Amino acid sequence: MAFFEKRLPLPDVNPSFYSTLGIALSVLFLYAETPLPKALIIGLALLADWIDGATARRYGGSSKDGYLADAMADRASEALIFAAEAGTVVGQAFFVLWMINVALTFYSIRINKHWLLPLRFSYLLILIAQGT
Amino acid sequence: MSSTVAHAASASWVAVTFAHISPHETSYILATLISASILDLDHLFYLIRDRAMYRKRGYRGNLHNARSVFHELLGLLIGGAVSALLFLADRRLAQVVFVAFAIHIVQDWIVGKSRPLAPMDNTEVQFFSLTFKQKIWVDIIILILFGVLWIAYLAAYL
Repeated sequence: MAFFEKRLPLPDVNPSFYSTLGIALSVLFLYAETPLPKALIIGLALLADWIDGATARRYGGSSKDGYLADAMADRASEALIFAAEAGTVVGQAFFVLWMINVALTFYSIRINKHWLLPLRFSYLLILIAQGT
Repeated sequence: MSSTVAHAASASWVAVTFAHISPHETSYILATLISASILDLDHLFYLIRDRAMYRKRGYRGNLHNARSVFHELLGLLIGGAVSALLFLADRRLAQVVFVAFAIHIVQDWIVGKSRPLAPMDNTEVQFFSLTFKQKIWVDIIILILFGVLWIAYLAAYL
């Protein structure tokens, strides 16, 4: 990932722009009904999340409040995605895991280590498996 | 921070349309309108309690102080726990209530200042540094856009 990050042409914009884009994609996810568009939207949201971090690292915007903004956007994105999926047993399990992830966010900040569950990525793999 | 009306119009529209709620299902629509706006009740408490400070400093740029932990990550978690309980009684209701509630919180995070880890840590986070005038414009655009979308939603079922 670091290899791509160094070569990726990234404009010098506020990283929150990408975080907001990730949240907007999660709102769009609410309206997706089949695995393929759902997977595509989660993939784009994850990409926005990664570019947000990459932009902050490249232009020296990495800070505690930047990390917090990123964490807030991620939890919000997960909340919307798994609320939409709460009609299935797997979606319900992920919603419960999302609540654990919110608690882990508090813990991560406290211990200064990134201890979080990659929920959207895991769900993306499930959607891809469902779609194939 | 957006106005309560803007929150109610936008968050409840998203909740009712994503869950395919028809305009005849008034109890669901009412529930989304309440959950999309109830969060702003906490402002009243702080505005009354700290009225001397607001009279001295003014409301502009200080309203983020008039919010409880329900507007932060902890509020999102509590909202999730409440809707998980509600889920046992009515799945659809739980979903629309949580989506409307979550969208309100997220809108405030994006437009205003927040303290996501409150009450444990009071670090302030601001996604975009918007002026008061820009926030008013965001509010007006949301109201017009979702006003039109509400009319379209209701007209589609007539």
